[in-house]
Amino acid sequence: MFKVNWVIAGLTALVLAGCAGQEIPDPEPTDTTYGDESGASTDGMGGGDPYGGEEIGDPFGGELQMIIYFDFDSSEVRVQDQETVSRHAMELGNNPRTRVRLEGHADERGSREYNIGLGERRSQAVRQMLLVQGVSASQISTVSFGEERPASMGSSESDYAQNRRVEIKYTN
Amino acid sequence: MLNRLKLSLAILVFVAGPGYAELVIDVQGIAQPTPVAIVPFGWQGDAADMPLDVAEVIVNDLRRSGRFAPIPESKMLQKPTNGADLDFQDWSFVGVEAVVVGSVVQEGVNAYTLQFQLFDVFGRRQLVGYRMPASRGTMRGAAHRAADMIYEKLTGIKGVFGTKVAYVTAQQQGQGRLYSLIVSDQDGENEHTIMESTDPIMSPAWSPDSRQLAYVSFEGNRSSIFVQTLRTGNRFKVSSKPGINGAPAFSPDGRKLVVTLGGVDGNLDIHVLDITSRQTRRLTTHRAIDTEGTWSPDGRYVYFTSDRSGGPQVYRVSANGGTPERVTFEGSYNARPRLSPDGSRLAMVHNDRGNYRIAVMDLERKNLLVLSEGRQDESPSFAPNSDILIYATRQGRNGVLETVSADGLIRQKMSEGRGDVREPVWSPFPRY
Amino acid sequence: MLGDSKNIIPVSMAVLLHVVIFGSMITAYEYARPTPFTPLAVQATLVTEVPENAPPPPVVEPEPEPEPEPIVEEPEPEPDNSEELRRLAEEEKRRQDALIEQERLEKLRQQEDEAERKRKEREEAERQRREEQEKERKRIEAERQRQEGIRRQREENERLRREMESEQRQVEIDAESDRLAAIDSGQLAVYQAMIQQKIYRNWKVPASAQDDLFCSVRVRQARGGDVLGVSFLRCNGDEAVKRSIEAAIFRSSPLPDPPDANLFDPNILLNLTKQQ
Repeated sequence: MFKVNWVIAGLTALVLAGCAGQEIPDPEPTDTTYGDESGASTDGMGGGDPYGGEEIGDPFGGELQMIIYFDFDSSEVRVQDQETVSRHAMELGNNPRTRVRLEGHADERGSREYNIGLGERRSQAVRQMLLVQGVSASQISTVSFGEERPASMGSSESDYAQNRRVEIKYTN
Repeated sequence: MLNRLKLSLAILVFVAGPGYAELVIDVQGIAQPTPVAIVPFGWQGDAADMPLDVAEVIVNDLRRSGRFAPIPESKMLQKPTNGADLDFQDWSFVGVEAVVVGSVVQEGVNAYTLQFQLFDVFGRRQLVGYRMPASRGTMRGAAHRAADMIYEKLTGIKGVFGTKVAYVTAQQQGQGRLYSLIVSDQDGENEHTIMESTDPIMSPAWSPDSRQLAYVSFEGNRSSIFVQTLRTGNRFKVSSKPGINGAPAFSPDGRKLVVTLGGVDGNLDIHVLDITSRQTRRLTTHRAIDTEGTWSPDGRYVYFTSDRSGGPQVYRVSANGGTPERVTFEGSYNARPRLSPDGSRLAMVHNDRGNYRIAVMDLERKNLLVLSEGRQDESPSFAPNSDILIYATRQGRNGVLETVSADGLIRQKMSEGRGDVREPVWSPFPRY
Repeated sequence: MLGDSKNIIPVSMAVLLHVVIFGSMITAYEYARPTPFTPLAVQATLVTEVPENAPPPPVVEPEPEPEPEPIVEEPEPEPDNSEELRRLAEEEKRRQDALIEQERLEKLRQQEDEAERKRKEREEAERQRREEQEKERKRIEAERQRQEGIRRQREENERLRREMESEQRQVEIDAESDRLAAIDSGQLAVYQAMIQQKIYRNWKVPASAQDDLFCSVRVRQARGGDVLGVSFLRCNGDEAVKRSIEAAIFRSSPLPDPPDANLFDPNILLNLTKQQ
C-alpha cells in the first residue's frame, strides 16, 4: 500500500547527496540521547555548491514534517514540534474536506497492548493540539500501532527514539 | 550344651549391650532430570515401519519437560516390547528409575492399537499400562496422550503434551512485513497458519473449548477484534468501534470477551463484550490507560493493567463492576496479567532493575518470583496444568519462545528458526 | 547324649523327676479307693452288749448273716398234758437258752471279728498314712534336691555369663578404642564423606521436590558395602522423591569400604535434603 517510486527516490537521493553539506542545525539543541534523528523522511537542505552560490530558503518554512517524535515515557508534544503541528492545523483548517490519520507508535519496551495505549496517547496529544487550533474533529482519526510497526528495528536508544512517534498521514 | 549356652548368651549381649552406633550421613542433593528408558516400540503390521515412531514422540515430550533424561538406545541391555519380558536386574544395572515398553499393532487398513506399560525399576512393579486405538491421523495425538499418562504417573502433575499453542510471526517481505497467526502442537509440530496479513496481528486468545481464537487485526489501518473458528476458518468481527479495539480475552463460560476500547478520545478502558449480542458494558472509567484485561478462572474478577498510579500496575475489578483495587506493589512496572488456571498465581511482565522479565506472584502469599532472565521478555501464558509458562524473549533481532516451570527451575527454548515470533498463548486442555 | 559326662546333672534330675512323678502317680492310684476315716483316739474296747445305738456299719462290710429267725411253732392243742407241757416248756426253755447263748456267742464272735477287722483297718490306715508321709517326705526331698540342682545350675550360668561378658566387654573396649583412634585420626569423616559423595552423585532429585524436603532413611549394608535393605524412617517427599532416593542408594551399591575396617557400621542413617 505504501508503494515507492524507485526512480524518483533514486534521483532524489542523488540530488540530496549532492547537496548534502551544511545541515541547518536543530533550532533547539537537545541531549544526544536520541542520536541523530535521520529517520525523518525529510532532511534539512544545506547550501554550498561548486559555483559558490547559495540556496534561497523557502519563505514558507520548509517541507512539512510528517512525523513527530516523543521523549521516553512521554506523550507531550515537544516545543520544537509545536510549529509543525500548527502548520498541519493550518493546512487542515484551510481545507476542511482534508482528512488526516494520526498513527501513534511506541518503542518496543514493555508489554504490547500497554504500548498501544502509549501510542494512542501520543496520537491524542497531537489531535488535541489540532482541535485547539480549530481543526474539525471529523477531519481527524487516530490509530495506535504500539510497537508493532517500528521505524527502526534495533534495540538501542536511538532506535527507540525513532520509534516513539506519531505519523501524520493525509488520507485524501 | 555349654557351647550353645555360650552362643545364646553372646547373642543376648550383642543385642542388649552397647553395640554399634549408627553412622549418620547428610546428603544435600540437587535437582536433576530423572533417568528413564523409553524402549523402542514393537511393530506388527503390513508396512516395514510403524506410521509414527511413538517412542520418539514420548522421549521428546519427556525430555523437553526438563524433568526427565531418557537414555539412548545404545545403553539399553534389553529391548522388550512387552512388560512380561522385563528384566528388572538389567534395568537397575543401567540405573534408570522407570522403563516404558510398548507396541503398535495394525488391526485394519487404517486402524492400529497402541499399547504401553510403565514400570518402576527399583520398586519392581508396573505403574500404569494402557491400550488405545489410533489411526494414522490420530497416532501422534495418541503418543502424546501416552506421554501425558507417563508424566502424570511419575511426577503427579497433569501432562500437557496433547495441548496446542498459538502465536504470531512477523517476516520481512520486501518493504513491509507479513504477519501470520499460527497454531501448532505444543512441541512445534503440525503448524497451521490460520490468518495472514500485511498488517499487524496481535493478542491471540483461546476460547475455553479450544475451538476459537480471538485476535486483534490492523487490516484497513484500524484495529478491530475478530473471533475465528479454527476448524472452518470462518471468522466474524466482534468489535470495530472508532479508536482502539484491543486486548480480547474470553470469559470462563466462553460467552463474553473482556476488551479494551479507546473511543474517539483515546481513553483506553476495559469493557465486557457479549459475543452474541455485541453489547458492551463498561468496567473502568479512569482517564488512565486501562488495558490487557483477563478473567479469573472463577469468572468473578477481571484483572487488568492500569497506569492510574503513574506507571503500569496490575489491578482487579469485580466482573460485575465496582471500584478496582491494586494488586501489585513491587517494582515500578507490572503489566499484562495472566492468572494460572488453578487460580493460585498471577503472571505478569515486570520491570526488574531495568529489564522486562516474566514474574509470577502467589496470590495468597503475595510474594513475587522472577522467572525469566532476558531484557525484553513479554506475553506470559500458563499451560492448562498451571505448572509451566510460555513467553516470548529476544534472541538478537528476533523474538523466540521459551517455556519455564512455575517454580522457575526448568527453562527450555521452544521455537528455533521460525523468524520473529511473539505473543504465544497456550491452549486449554482439549475437550474430547 | 547320655555318654557326655557334662550331661549328668540334667539327666539325673530328669530321672529323679520321672521317679517322683511316677511314684506320685502310683500312690495316687491307691488313694483311689475311699476308706472311712476312723479316728485313732477312740477306745476300741470289746463290749458285751450289742451297741444298739451304734451306727450301722457301712456297706463294704461283709453282709451280716441274717439273724436266725425265731422258729414259730404252731402250738399243738393238748387237752390235759400238764406234765408233758411242763417238760416241753422246760425243754423249750433249755432250747431257747441254748439259742440265746448261741446267739450271744455268735454276736460276740461277730463283734470280735468286727473289732479285729476294724483293728486291721486302723493298722492298715496307719500304715498307709505312714507310707504316705514317707512318700511326701521323699517327694519334698526330691523337690528340694531339684531346686538345689537348678540353683547350682543358675549359679554356674551366671558365673559363665559374667566371665563371657567381661571377655566380650574387653573385646568391645578394644574395638571401641581402635575406633576412637580411627575417628581421632579423621578416618571417620573420610568414610562419611566417601559414602556421602557416592550417594550425592547418584541421586537425581526430582524438580518437583519441595524446598523443605527432609527424608531420613536407614540403609543396611553388609561388609563389603552391598546394600541389604533400605527403610524410610520419615520423608515429606512424594512418590517420585522416594523412588529417586531408593534408586540413588541402590545405584551406589556396593558402598565404599571404610579406610579403617573398625569404622564399618552395618547401619547408616541418611538425612536427605534438597539444595536451593
